[in-house]
Amino acid sequence: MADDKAQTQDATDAKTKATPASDAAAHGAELEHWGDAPEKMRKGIQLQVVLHIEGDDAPAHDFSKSTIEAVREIITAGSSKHPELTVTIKKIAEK
Amino acid sequence: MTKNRSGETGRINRQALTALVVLLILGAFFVYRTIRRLPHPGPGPTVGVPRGGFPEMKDKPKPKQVVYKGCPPEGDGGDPALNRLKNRVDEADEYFTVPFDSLAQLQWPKAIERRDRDKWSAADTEAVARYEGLPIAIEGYLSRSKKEGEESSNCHGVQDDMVDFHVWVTKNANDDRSGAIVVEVSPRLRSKHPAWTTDAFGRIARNDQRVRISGWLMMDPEHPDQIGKTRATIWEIHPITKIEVEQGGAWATLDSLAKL
Repeated sequence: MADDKAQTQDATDAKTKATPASDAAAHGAELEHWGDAPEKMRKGIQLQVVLHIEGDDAPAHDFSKSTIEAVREIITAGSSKHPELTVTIKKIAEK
Repeated sequence: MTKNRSGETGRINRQALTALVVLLILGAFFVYRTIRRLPHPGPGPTVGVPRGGFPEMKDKPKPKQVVYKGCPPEGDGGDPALNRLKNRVDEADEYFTVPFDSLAQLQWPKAIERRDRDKWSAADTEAVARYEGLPIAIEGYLSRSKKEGEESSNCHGVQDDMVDFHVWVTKNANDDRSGAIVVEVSPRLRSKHPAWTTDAFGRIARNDQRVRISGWLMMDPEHPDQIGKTRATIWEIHPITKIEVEQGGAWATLDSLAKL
């Protein structure tokens, strides 16, 4: 009885854990494979991020310039949390 | 005597009636046959005009898919349905050569632009499906080729063996790219055709050699902003499955020329 319950739980877990990635892997298992599949491959992506920033500033001070510098520093500082990624800032500009 | 005459008249009437029925059946048959032979009017004003040169295929070949260096046919994100089309690897038994202008002017429903396929309406999906997946060929001249960057269809790989080549084909040699048709070489098929390099494409372009590009007609809704700038249409031949170059009035595959 306990085994039955455990099996049911396992089945539920498997169903819950099914993801598009695991579905794709299952689908891929049926397909012909061309070339060796590396454990890891070099990937790249260009992300477009839109930020809205608010802050208090002197009326005549260049808010655009100072916020762009701030965002550059925020990204640079934050990227150290993900040493596995190389983050290059291509462009930060006011919309 | 009167009875005989009336019997004869009845027989003549029956024969006339039979002849009339036969004529009506024959007439209906000819009308039906004529209607069947007429060109189909197309799904609506948003797509399908002109229809010139495109084959009518009810059962298009089912795409063959493979896992390439660990990358599944649906890629690693983006629009999986689009990626599966980009990543098909099968070759057709026959390619239908379509006039350059017919492909350049083939329309599409505007509502699909920049939208994933699972968000298309049923009518728009049907309109595109009428043409998409046709094995076609176009003739023209290579204008430019470019190694692309990372894309979801290629699992965002950055290495040379994981990126597409974009190739621009124009109707006449040295035409502007604004009227070009974009045809794409996928890394999957490039792995089977080592002669398909940007250097080879550059040589063909510089020599103004006429080419015939064969592959699968595909709708790529991602770049409508480039129409009139770097392309004439968002219909593409994608992937390319055969590249031929005109040599002395005959077509030779780029693969065979590379072996010479």
